[in-house]
Amino acid sequence: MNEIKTLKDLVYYADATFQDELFSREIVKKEFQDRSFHQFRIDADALGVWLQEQFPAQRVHAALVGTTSYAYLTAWFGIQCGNHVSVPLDAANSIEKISDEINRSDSVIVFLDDKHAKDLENFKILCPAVKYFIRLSDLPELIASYLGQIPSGTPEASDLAAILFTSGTTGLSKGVMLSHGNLIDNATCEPDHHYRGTKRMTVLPIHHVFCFTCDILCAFWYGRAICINDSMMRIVRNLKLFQPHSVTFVPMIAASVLKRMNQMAETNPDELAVGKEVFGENFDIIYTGGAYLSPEIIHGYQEFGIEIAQGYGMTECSPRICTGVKGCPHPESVGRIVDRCQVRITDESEIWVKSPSVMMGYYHNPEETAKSLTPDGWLRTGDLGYQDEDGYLYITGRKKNLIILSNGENVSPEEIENQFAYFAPVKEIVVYALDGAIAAEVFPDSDYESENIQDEIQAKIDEINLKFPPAKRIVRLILRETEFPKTASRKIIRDKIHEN
Amino acid sequence: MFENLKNFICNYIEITPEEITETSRFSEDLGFNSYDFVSMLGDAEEEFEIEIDQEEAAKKKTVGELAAYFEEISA
Repeated sequence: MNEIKTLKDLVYYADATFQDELFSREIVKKEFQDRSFHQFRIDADALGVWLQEQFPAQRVHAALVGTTSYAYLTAWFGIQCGNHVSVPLDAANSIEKISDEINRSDSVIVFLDDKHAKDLENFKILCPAVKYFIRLSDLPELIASYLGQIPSGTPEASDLAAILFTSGTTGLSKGVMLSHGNLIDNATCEPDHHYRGTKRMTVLPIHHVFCFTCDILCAFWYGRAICINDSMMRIVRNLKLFQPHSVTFVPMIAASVLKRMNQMAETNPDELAVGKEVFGENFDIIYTGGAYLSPEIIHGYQEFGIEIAQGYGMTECSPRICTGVKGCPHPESVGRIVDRCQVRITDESEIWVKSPSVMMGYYHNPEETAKSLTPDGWLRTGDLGYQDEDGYLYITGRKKNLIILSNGENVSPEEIENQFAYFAPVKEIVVYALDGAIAAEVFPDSDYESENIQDEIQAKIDEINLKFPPAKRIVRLILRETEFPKTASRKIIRDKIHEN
Repeated sequence: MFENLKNFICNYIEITPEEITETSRFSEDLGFNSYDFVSMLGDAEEEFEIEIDQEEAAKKKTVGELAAYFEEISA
């Protein structure tokens, strides 16, 4: 372990240790296409050599635009083996937004999937500083004559490895700078649970660090294979095809798959059989992150014999702060704090984190860096919560959403809103201060059949109010006819809702 | 195709085929969220033996529009 300091070291470690074992499996023209750890190292090195020829004695920034594929991964790690910096961008964004991030990250080479390559002429106009646009589908041809060659030079652990953009609900996205040391620390922050030879189906977008670290980097670390889900449309079908041992979901996907199993259980009352039919014979566990996973979903999966565990993190921490735990004794927690990570809860209940995974800062943005990182290296997460004696962490809300009532009481709206998760009559809910007290604004679910939906919601509010001290109780219910305004990533924009 | 699609959609939501019209909108009228919708498309590929372009299909807002798209690609 001591010798793995950089992403290039990790690729070499996996080649030396796991050699011809399965690294990746993808579906190409309805056939499995498998590659070994050794093949991957050869391909990534070949691209590294090609890149060094194009940019001799320079470290450049190389952007990637596309969905997960073997070619995409080859490009990501070819950039690393060539001692350059990877800039994976959100392929679901508009060409204008992608181009803006290419420009702001100072990328001079861009790898594109076929879909984005169709817009090549536009990209050329919008990104005049880019020297090369490379189609990912052209990679095999590009590296063919370099196979077997080894790129020169090795980065340091403290060197920049990647810039990942985080989208906020306001303002421009920020480029999170992660070093080799940051990513290696996070990939190795929990003990090996004998995952070697198991399969992880990768579903989430690859530009997201949760997917990148937990699915991809951990594959090299554990010797675990990656099965590439080729489309969100085909998750359930691909689970059957790949028969994976584990998968990472965000809560929305977890909720939808659970709904699907509940429908299947209407005709097949053997719930364990339904669980096996959907997830396959090998299946062990679902890990989630990115948003709150309610205990109802966890219990729902348990009915089908499927374990689901939530973790917690953020791009700025590469991302894991907590990891989901199999058989977690505290399902309402966001998991156990990972190795080498220190957590401090401030007097205002904000979670601060210090670990070798914490980012170098935001690219070309010292003001925002100073807001996020304290001078002695603590990352202010902006989340509120608490820690128990067993090392489990609990999130109660976001600091910026905190409601400060006129009596000085602080109330976290999410803590109240989460109580309505999966309460059928409520499709969306936002809690805010109105005239010095708490109001709940609700967009009801139009599919929910009810003689008086307002009364049903009010009854639920009365029930939930009993769980809270008087200052945290909802005193007013407002129904709205349209859904709440949202960002491109479907998060509710609280600033645009009436607040006092 | 519209009739087949109507019956197929009823596997995903609590509704009878008679309640679905050509102008029923997936999100607003039938309550599909984005993942439920793409998941239904995945199953439709198998059910109707077609190959769906997810982005094209995502542009179809009503049952009638999606049925027309399915007809076009199965032709």
